[in-house]
Amino acid sequence: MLFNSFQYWIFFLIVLALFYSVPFRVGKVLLLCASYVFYMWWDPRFIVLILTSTIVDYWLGILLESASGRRKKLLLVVSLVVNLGILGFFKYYNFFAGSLATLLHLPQSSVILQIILPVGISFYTFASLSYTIDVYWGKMKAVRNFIDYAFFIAFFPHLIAGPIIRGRQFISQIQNWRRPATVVVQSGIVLILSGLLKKIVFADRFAIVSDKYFGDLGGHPGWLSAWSGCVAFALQVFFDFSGYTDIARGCAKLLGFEFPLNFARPALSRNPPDLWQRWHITLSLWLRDYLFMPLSRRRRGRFALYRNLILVMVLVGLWHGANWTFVLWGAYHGVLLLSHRVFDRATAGTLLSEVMRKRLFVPFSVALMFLCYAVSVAFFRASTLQDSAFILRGMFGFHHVTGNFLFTTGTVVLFFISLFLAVAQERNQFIDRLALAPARVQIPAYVCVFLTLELFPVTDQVPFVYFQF
Amino acid sequence: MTDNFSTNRPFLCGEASIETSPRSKILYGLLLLAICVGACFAPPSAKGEIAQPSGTANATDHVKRAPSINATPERVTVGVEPGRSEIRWDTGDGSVGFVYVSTNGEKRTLFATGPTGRATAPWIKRASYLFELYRDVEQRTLLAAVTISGVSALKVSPKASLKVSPLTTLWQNNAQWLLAAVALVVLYFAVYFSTPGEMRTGFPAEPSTSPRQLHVVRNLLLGLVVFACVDGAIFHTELYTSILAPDSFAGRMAILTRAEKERVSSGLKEVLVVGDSRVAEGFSATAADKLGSEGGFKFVSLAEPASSIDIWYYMLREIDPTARRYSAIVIPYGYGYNRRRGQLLKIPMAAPLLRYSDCFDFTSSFEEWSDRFRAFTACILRGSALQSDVIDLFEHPAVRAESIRSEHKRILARAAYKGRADDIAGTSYDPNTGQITFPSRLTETQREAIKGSLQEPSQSESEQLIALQRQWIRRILKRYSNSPTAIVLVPTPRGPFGRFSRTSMAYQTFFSGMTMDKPILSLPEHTFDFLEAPEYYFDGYHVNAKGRQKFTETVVAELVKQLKPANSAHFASDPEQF
Repeated sequence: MLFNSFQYWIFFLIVLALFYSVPFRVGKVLLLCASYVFYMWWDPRFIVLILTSTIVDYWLGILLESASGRRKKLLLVVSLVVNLGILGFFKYYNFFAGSLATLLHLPQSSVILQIILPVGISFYTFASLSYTIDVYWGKMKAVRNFIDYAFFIAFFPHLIAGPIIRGRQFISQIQNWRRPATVVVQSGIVLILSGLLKKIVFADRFAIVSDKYFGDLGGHPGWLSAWSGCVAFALQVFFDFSGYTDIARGCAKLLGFEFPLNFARPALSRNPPDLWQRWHITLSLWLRDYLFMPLSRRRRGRFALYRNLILVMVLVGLWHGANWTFVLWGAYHGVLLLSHRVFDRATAGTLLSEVMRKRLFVPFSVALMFLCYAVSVAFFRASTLQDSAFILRGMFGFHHVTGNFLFTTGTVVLFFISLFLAVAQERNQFIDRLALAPARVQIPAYVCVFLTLELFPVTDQVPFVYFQF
Repeated sequence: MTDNFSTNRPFLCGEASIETSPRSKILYGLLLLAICVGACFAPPSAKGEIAQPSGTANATDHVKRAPSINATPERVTVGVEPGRSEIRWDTGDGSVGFVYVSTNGEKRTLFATGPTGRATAPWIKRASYLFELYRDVEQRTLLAAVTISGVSALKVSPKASLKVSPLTTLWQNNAQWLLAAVALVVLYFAVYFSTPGEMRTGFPAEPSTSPRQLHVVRNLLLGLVVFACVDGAIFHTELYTSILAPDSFAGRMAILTRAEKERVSSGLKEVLVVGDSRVAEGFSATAADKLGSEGGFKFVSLAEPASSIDIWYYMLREIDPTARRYSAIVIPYGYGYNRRRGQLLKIPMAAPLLRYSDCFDFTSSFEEWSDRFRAFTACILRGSALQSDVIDLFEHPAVRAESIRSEHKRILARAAYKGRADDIAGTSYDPNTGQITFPSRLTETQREAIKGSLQEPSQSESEQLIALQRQWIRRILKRYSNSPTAIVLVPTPRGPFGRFSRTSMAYQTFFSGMTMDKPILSLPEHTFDFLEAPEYYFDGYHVNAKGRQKFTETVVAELVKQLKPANSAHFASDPEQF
């Protein structure tokens, strides 16, 4: 049941109607059941995993709250082992076993298992882990109501592809639920429409360009083809994931819940740290709070900092998928962050630094950062390291041919439209303000959106990119 | 019922003439304005001779086109430096095509390949270049061709030079680099204005309070109502229909019906022939006119590839609102088309003919719920059925304008169409072993079509097909129940090996026990059995020029015989009675 399917919207409208027709304590149970149905739609077997994770962390949370000293640590370790064990087995077993087999010159078939990756496992595992770690650190109290906890883990809008929510933000919303204000409902509708536009008009159309390139790399040599393909995928993945998040947040708002912001115009990032403040914000913050900060507290010093930076980014890559291409993708971003930090330190107080801070220079920084991001696509989208190498060689002119400009007129127009929408949103929250706009603005905006959704969608249903993570 | 993708597809039988209406001129002006805007965003073409298959192939898959090849410009001014022209081609059905070029009639060389695309020929000199689009690398099946003439700058007449638009000239003078520079400047200022200067450290959340009272449901509903009205104003009127891609199924249907509506009555006894590609290939209105002129008959063919009986109904409703325009309407019946494909094409094809009130009737022609939903939506929001066409218009406004401009050429070509000269004689089929032997000259497409035509429809397919024909024949008869127009049912020839088919073309197989609102006339089951031989076909479904002549002669002879006033009294609800 994809967010861009008719099925989902029938499901959502039924759930919405039922939810508001019963008291919240009943509605909560109903939403939980609906969430499990939503999850089982893909594969009913994997409900066992989500239930295991939920039950274990619920009890561990209660035990952690009252425990102290070594026992407390042990309980946390149990939580980590259970959650990361499930994640590791289903997502990474074949990757590590396969890599080890290659290293030891063993046949792959002797170690590889037929494992299906449960959808959304990376997202709900991180949500669950954030809860036990927060309880361990004493940042929140353990939840005593199992339904509340299960609801936090399984609430369907975030279950499959985030945003990664945290117990301390979300459980209080369950406990103090109120009917959403009119402006919140309005904002939810705007988010849903914006998400649908991003997904089925923008992302899926850029996907046509990127699929053309990545689907036949050998048939598209040359720097122009490589850059077209990679830029198209960079735009696709942003609109795809950001569109999903908008729909998730919009649906949550209509049901009276708030999800954190996950994207803030990442294409307008000026430098690598800025990118990670704008791109998949909930994952960046999760890793900062639960991995980078604890690591940094253990050992200080510049070298340790750089090492931690690279380590965290490699893990970010690995979180995205069990493949060496993702590891390199993470490492590449780690190197970008590190280089930026070194460069920043080296040029601090110099004329260059002053010039770079000028507003006139900002577009150049943004362009450079976008191109750096487009390069990372060579790792992110390619299936093998050989493919990545081919793309990179193409991008940097080693194919010795020009290649083809793969963008069509329509996708170029879309690119400019998306740019202007991003600029308008960045400057004065143009899209958010639509929720507050008077009818004379809102109605034409709705008409434009409906017409765009009617006339310009990509009719073949394309799955969300982040479902595979 | 069988879709036909042959090269010289008849476009509009009969001698109908189309005048550009004042409204069309205004629309045309608007279209030109769109072209100017579109041209500003046109992507720069690849340098040199590198072929550039278009990325719109996937996006426009649903618009089925005739194969085409165009050159812009076709007349290239050559000075000291060679001139250039951009070649665009489209095989129309997504299969790979091969573009060959020959200079002054010399040996052909491969220029580009791909199902659709464009490539620049920057080496045009003072010569004639024939660009031909072939289905196969062996250059056996020619799909389309275009000639580029390189003319000396000194010889270009002032009038001719006026024909080249300033935009084209600008574009040819490497304006793409200027465009790229403009794009970069736009990008620069867009990003410049997006930032206040300082780095952002946080992002504001969506509003949670409002200074004014909000009307969520009211605004949303009003938005939906206005949207439906806008869609209606654009797509349920001539506004968009007049600029549909003439090569698309929807466009062809719109042009056919518009031309027939505007055609002035001949004053003779007019006989309308509807049908799918088999009738389009098989029946020649021009030949029929000659044969039937003595009896005072005038024939009009609106047979259109991939159309089906429900579409004919809507077409008849559109062109014959009083149900009294024709002396007779010839409706073919039978088996033999790719059902699923037909279903997919049906919605965009019917779109220009659908009304809001058709939402339930039209939907009932579909079996799958997803198709029914799409059909329903197409009736209410017609734009949803024309998505591919709209995208195509935005992507290639200049090509669209050009193809609309050359509409009359297609109409003339349709009227002059004489059928395909080639045949499949030499092909043999053994019904016992199922083995088919092809002569070596047949292309893969022909072989596949022959194999496909030999597959008998399944029980359920036959039942569905019969049910569909019964349902819509009944509706057509109801519509003409109080009209003097005779409805003539014609069994379609089953194919080159129809004699081996187990399917019966008997009238009873299709319409037995059906209550008729009007007496009908049906040609005998075996009327066209003599045509079911390979020498009359160019593939598994469609007759060639020879077959076309025979089919037309037989239809006309039978009609003239049956439509004589003396015989009209014999019309019966069960045609087997006479």
